[in-house]
Amino acid sequence: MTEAGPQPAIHARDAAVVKLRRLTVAVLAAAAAAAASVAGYVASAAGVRATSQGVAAAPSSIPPVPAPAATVPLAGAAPSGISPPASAPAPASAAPVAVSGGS
Amino acid sequence: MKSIALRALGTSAVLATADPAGLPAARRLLVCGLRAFDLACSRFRDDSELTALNRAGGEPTRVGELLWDALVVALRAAELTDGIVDPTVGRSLRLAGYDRTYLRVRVREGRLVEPAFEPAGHWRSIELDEDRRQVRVPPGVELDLGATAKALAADSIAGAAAELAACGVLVVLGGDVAVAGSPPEGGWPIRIADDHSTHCDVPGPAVAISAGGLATSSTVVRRWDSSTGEQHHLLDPRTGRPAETPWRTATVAAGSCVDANTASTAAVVLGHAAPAWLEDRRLPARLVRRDGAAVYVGGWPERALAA
Repeated sequence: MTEAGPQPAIHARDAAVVKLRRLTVAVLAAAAAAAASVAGYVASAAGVRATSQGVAAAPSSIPPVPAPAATVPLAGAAPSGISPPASAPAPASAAPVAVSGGS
Repeated sequence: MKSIALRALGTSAVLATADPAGLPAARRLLVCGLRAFDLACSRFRDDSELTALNRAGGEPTRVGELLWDALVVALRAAELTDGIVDPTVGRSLRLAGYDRTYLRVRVREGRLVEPAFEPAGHWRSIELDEDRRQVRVPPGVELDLGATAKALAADSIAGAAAELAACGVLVVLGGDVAVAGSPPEGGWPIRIADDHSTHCDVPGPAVAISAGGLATSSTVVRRWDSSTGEQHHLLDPRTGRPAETPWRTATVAAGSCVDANTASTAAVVLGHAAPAWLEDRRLPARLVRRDGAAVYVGGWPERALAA
């Protein structure tokens, strides 16, 4: 098995990740709750797809990315899985503090 | 309200807090978070985890939690867009000429670059083993997490900073906006532009959001010369070529920055189909045609005109 990344990079990252990890999980959890279940992308402990749609067996011991599990949209959420905003943007009444643009 | 700006992830970052007293703590978290995401997800760092994964030659590779999360988010985006936003576009980008940081792409002699175009579309072949936190990328497939990882960073950092600073926080990474916590009265006012490096004071449309995210994708930035003409970074994974699209810029509001970014990128690539695609998903959006005419979708405020 390969271990990704030189160790110094991993060590440096880990210190930062400790503070961010729970929030990353929170973001994922919110996304999952709003739409496609993140758990649907990963294999269960038994190596069985956590999806009702099923995926053909993979040649390796690591299962392939399965199709997403059935979505459980929140009230008002579109069935697509991409969560719409709680409310549409409003015309700004104050001077902008930032720019949304291509990068 | 107070804000700062800095360079990060090959682009710019802006941080604002509703309570000025919360800015120092939020700034520490921003710097910490950006470094973590860069070390995990950069395609251009020799020492990043993503680079190691791309070079693993098809071997199952254990990855850190942050790269794992970024991969799950990227694959979710691919599923939700039917592969229009595809993390396996890395090889296509490299062959098209985006094979180094954009700063280095800009300064090289572009006419000597001979691009090749190869479709992507391998995202279903990425194998994840959650128990071992292992990932297998098939040989010949290269990942690029540029779009969704940046947005995930914005969402994560905004959420963490809002909690740490105990106030509303706005994080902008390369023009992708995430907000968390209690917003200032009237929401966070944000200028909309083709290019994220546009100054806030430049006249143009501006909107306010109070939660979630806002993202803009544009074909007028990250362009480079090549022997066969100018290229841009928004590739159509189905062809491996820069998307041929009627839109020069797409801005989308969504429940998170990740979702806004996913939708704005998809909108540009989808081209003429984008307005209906966005409407179906109840996503407010502003699409700008190449001639500058704007199309408003999903309840985007048409009154948000130049201030």
